[in-house]
Order: sequence, then C-alpha cells, then structure tokens
Amino acid sequence: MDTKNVRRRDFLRLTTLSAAGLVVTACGGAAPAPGPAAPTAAPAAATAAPKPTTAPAAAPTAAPKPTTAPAAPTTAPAAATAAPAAAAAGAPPANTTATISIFDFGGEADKKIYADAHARFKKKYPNVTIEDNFVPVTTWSEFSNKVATDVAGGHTPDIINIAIEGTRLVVKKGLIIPLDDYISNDPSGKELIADVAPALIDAFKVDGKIWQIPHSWNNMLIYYNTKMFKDANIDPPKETWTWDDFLATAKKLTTGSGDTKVYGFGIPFFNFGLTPWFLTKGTYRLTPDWSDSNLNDPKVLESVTFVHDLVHVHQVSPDVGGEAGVDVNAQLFAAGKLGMSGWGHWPIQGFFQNNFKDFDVQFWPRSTAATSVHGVGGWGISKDSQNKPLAWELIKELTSKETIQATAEAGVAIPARRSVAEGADFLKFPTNSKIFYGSLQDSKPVEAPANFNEVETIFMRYMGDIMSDASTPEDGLKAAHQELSAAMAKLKNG
Amino acid sequence: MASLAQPRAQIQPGPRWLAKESQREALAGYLFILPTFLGYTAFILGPIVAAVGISFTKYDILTPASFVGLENYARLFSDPRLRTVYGNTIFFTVFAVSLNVGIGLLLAVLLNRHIPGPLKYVFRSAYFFPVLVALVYSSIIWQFLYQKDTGIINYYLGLLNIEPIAWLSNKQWVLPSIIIMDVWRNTGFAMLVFLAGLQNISTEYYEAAQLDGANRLQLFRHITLPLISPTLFFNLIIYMIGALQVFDSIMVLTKGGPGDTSRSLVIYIYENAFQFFEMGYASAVAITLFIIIVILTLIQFRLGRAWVHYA
Repeated sequence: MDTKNVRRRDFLRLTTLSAAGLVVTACGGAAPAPGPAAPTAAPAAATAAPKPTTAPAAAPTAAPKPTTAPAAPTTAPAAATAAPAAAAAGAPPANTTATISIFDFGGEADKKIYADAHARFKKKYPNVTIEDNFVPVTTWSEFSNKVATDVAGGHTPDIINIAIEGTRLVVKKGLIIPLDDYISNDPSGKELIADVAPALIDAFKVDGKIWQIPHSWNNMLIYYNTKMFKDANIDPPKETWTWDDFLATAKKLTTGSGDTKVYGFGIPFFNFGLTPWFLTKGTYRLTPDWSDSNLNDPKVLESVTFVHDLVHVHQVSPDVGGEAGVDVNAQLFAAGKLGMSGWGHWPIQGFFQNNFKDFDVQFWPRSTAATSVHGVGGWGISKDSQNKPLAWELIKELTSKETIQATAEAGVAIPARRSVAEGADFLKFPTNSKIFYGSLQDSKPVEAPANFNEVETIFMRYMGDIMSDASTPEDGLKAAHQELSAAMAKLKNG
Repeated sequence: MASLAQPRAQIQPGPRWLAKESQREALAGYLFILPTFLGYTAFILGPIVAAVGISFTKYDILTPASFVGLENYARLFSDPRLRTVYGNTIFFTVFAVSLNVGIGLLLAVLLNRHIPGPLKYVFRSAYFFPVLVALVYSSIIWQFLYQKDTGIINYYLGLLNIEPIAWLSNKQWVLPSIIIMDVWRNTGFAMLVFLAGLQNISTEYYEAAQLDGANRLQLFRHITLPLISPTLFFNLIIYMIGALQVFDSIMVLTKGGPGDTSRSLVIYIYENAFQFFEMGYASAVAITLFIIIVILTLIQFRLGRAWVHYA
C-alpha cells in the first residue's frame, strides 16, 4: 500500500517536472506543440537560444536593478558607460521618427528581457516605434520556417535574432548584411566585441565578415548528482576524466531493477547534445569546412558505437525515446533516477523551480581530445532594412551589459559578455559554474552549414534507427553517410 | 398574377435581368453561398491549384521558383523513404480506421440499450470526451503514459511482472502505440454518429423480427447493420481520409521516429516543405496523396452501392 502511494506521488512529481523538462527541451528543439510545437527532432536548435521556461520570480526582481553597476570588475566599465549610443559616429539623431521591426524568438524570460531593452532604447529615441514580432517557439526549425515564410510574404524585418544554425542560410540567401563597419566605426561596438570570447564572434563569421552580434550561447557539460555520488562513495569527476572513467562511474551508479532502477547516465539525445561524443574523439560529423559528410570516419563509428553500447551493452543508460520532445532526462535526473546527464545551461532554472539543487557540472569526458561544443544566438540587420543605423543602435541596447545581465539573471542561456558570465550573479550556482564560460577555450561551434535543418534531420533519423537497434551502428552510419553526402552535394551545386 | 408582380417591379426597379422573381431568388442563393465559395476558393481550391503548379518547380520560398518539368515526379519513384512513409501511412490507416469504426460501433450499440438516464449520459460523455480535448494536450499526456522508465502504463505492467515496453522508441511498438492513442481519442466521434444512426431505426422492425424468432445476432446482422449502413459508410470515408492525413498526434509523440518508423506521409510532406524548403518535391508528394484519397473515396462510393441502403 505504502509503496503504491509513494510510487504514485513519485509519478506525479516526475510528471510535473517533465512539464518543466518539456519546455527545457525546447531549447533545442523538440518540443511538442502547446508552447512549442515541434518540427524536427532534437532540442538541437536550441543550442544557442535555449529557453526553458522563465524565471517568473527572477524577472520581476531583476527590474529595479538597472541603476546598480553590473558586477563586473574585470573589464573596462568606463568604456561601456562612456560611449552612449547616440554619441557614436553616424548614430541617428535622438528625434528620429521611424519604425523598427524585429523578428525574435524564445521563451517568456526572453520576451521580458527584450521588452525591457526596448523600453531603454525608447528613452534615447522616443519617436521610434518598435514592432516586436516575438515568436514563442523554442525550436530553431520552427523559427526559421516563420522567418522564411514572412520574408517570402514580403514582410522583411529590420533586425533578426538567429542562432548559428541559421546564420549560413540567411547569409546565403542574402537576408542580412555584414556588421564589420558598424563595429569598427563605433567605440561601443569595439567595447562589446572586446567583452565577448572570440569563439562566439567567430561563430558568426562567414567569408571573413561578422554577420551577427552574439547575445547568448550554450554548450554541453556533464551534470552529475552530487548526493548520489556521495552516497555511492564516488569521487566527483575530474576535469580531465576520460571515456573509461566515465563508463566506470556510470556502471557504479547503475543499480536496482524495476521501480528501484537507477541509471548512471541519461543520453542527451538531440543533435547538439550528441556532438561532444564526436568532438572528444577528435572527429565531427561534417568535414572541417562543413562542406561534406564525415560520417564514414572510423572515429565517428567509434563514437556512435560507444553511445549505442551505453544502452544496449553496458546498460547504464535508459532507452532514448525516439525523437519525442519530452526531456525525460531532466525528470529522471531530478528524481535521483539518473546519476549523470548532459545539458547546456538551460535546465538549471527548471531544477531550481523544482527545488532540486544536488548537482554540479563538469567538462565532457574525453577520449582523444579535450573539447566541447557551442551554439550561439545573435542579432543581425536585414539587408532590406530602411533604418540600418537605427537598427544598429537598437542591437547595441539588446547586447548592452544591462540586457545581458538580465539574461544571466534569468538563468537560461550563458551570457555572451565575459564580464557578465564571470560576474557573481551568474556564478552563484552550481559550484563549478565557471566552466560554462571557461569551456569556450577549446570549444568548437556546432556544425551549421546553410542546410542545417537537413543535416540535423538526416543525422537524428539514423541515430534513431541505431539507438532503437533497427540498424547496427555500421549500417546506420553507412546509410546516413550516403544520404548526408547527397544533401551536401546538393548544397554545393546550389 | 400579373397584378401582383407588377407593383413589386415598381418598388424594386433594379436591373433588367433581375426582373423575374426566380432570378432574384437565384441571386439571393448565390449571395448566401458566396462567403463559403470564396473561402473554399481561397483556402482549398487555390492552394490545390498552386500545389499542382509548384510541383513542377524548384522552389525554396526565399528565391523565385524555377520550372523543372517532371523532375519532382520522377524523384517520387527513386525515393526509398517515400515507400517507407507510404507503408506506415497505410498500416496506420487500416488499423486506425477499422478499430475506430469497429469500437465506435460496438460502444454505440452498447449505449443504445436501455441504461438508466443519468448513467447513459455519463457513459456517452466519457467516451466522447477525448474528442473534445485538444490533440496536442492529450498527446503530451500519452507521451508521459508511454514513457518506458517513468510511464504509468509500464508501472502497472511491472506489477504483472511484464518487462517495460519501449512504447515510443521500439520500432515494433511505435505505430501500434500511436494507433492506440488515436483510437482512444477518435472512436468517440464514430460512436456519436452511430448512436444518431441507431436512434433513427424504428423499434417496430426489431419487434417484428423478434416475433419471428430472430436472435440478437440476427437482429444486428439483418436489421441494425443494413439500416445504419449509410452511417457506417460515412464514418469509413471520414476516418479513412483523416487517417491518411495523420500528422499532429505523431508529430507530438515521436516526430516520426525512431528513424522513419512512425513517419506518416503528411509529416514527410511537412519535413520537405518547411525543414528542407523543397516546396516542389513536397507538392509533388502532396499531389500523390490527393490523388490516392480521391481514388479511394471513389472506390468506396462505388462499392458502397452494393452494401449501403438508403432508406
């Protein structure tokens, strides 16, 4: 009787958390429709702009903060404050009358953050109307679909918020302009670039030009349950741990059966989430210039086999659920049914809201390479914009310390500005938070050619086959390589 | 007669061609159907014609379409994924239609018996209720129920010592899982339509047959079934068309995975159109589905002549 009651309660708790998890997953992409409605599969899209729920609590309290100096002792605060937008060379006069239209997307937290930034901008430019086409979706595919159809329908915005997954597509289609001149002619542009890790700027470089200004980003780290590690007398993972260490740890954590089953590791089963397995093996799914499939690389097979075996050979990971959108890992992890899993920064708010704090983060275990992945979100200016200088001024506000600080407080993505990411607010939890921004040193961007949607879909479809044992890793990758090669050839041939 | 028509013509001089009453009536009729006709043209006929046009082009939404002749149609024959998604769609359609209609009929017959008043409404509402809930919400709930490690279905199966089933990630189980949810959700509508059909059958037929010594099965076979055959026919057509176009429940539950094992034709069309931006090919696939639905519906109408009895 008792157990039954407890079970039911457990189930309810899990279900509640899943609701949060579901939104969390959104960050990438897979979400089911209510909030999200998801096309592709994985929370992949999310990469750059993962936006779980929001912090309803955090947002309101954050509001009265503007006056205080953002806690960032490191970088030159003087430069930032000394260069008010209107002072920049070529900035439109404060009495300019215009309408600026924006395409952006995300969750509720983002909406609030953007709205606050717009309000600050309007203090400088009171006659400017901002038309915010905020799309409450959480997958990159959905958003790119919306942008494409709107643009096709003749509605071109001035400013577009795009994650790296879509950058090459919009550049290729000539939808946005390079921003190098704006950056180099504007002191606050230079200050901004100086405060952002080069890896994030490089993510938006195509043909040597910078096309977007980063606002936030995400990576993949291992989350581990500190209480479970302690109870099982397992030392916390070291920064330099290997795949072997990881597997040994996962085996130790895997216990029980039926209702009491606990798994060592929940596989983050989405495009972005699977990338670290390739990177830490010193390979990737596409060739380094992202022009061709690299799935026939034996190292890719080794990586995929390792992931496959976690479920089917070592049995330290639960089945991955097709391509469905619920972040089961988040539910299981918070319920103490998973010792470890992998995410970017996005699930932390959800864990907090469910009062789950027994976790910390560590770098991905390495096989032959120590590296991680990053995806970035940023603002670009439309080629057809009639108000480009004004749009640039607004982008500066959208990437100002104040705005980025709000991003950090909302706790969803990792702020693009180093000064904020290294500030006390962002670092307060979990203990090892410094490695979020720190991981950028050796990190590689998620592969994002102009046909990203297709690459992601092909890869995840075959991974679904492989993980459900519908095909072996060898056969699955062989077929995937063939299909991906054809897709890449099609891209090259226009 | 003439004296009646005359004054009206004076009151409403109007154009010459509206002089006759019948013409005015016809105009009123056309005006009444005009909004529907405009809607139909703009949102159904127009897109169908556009899809036919687009299917002969290469079109990615962002750059102008270019004519490619029959290239997209040629590709239909060399696309191995198309065979898989057609296979899935047909499998889903066969089982979803027969189970939805079969169980709907069974429920309707059971509920058409003498059941105390309030209880009758409770049952009817209960079976119809899933139809009223937005599909996305119910799909999400089913997704939780189906979870292998945390799902409540596997929990109860576990109490019976049955190993957990990977409902949504096992290639054998995934389509049956989707069909189960579809039947749970949609059979209530078939039930409701059957109930309406059953209530139109006069009790006199049954009384007469019973006097002749017919048993329950004979009553059902020789009276109920022929007399609700138009209803049955209606349900079959509606469910078949719906099942061939299945999209949202699969989208929420599995997005077509794992692999392509639960991908339906419409999801495949969506994927090509809005993820790969291959509007031309997506339109060509859509046209094949359109033609198949038309042909199947015509076949059903033809076959229906043999077994559907209109009173």
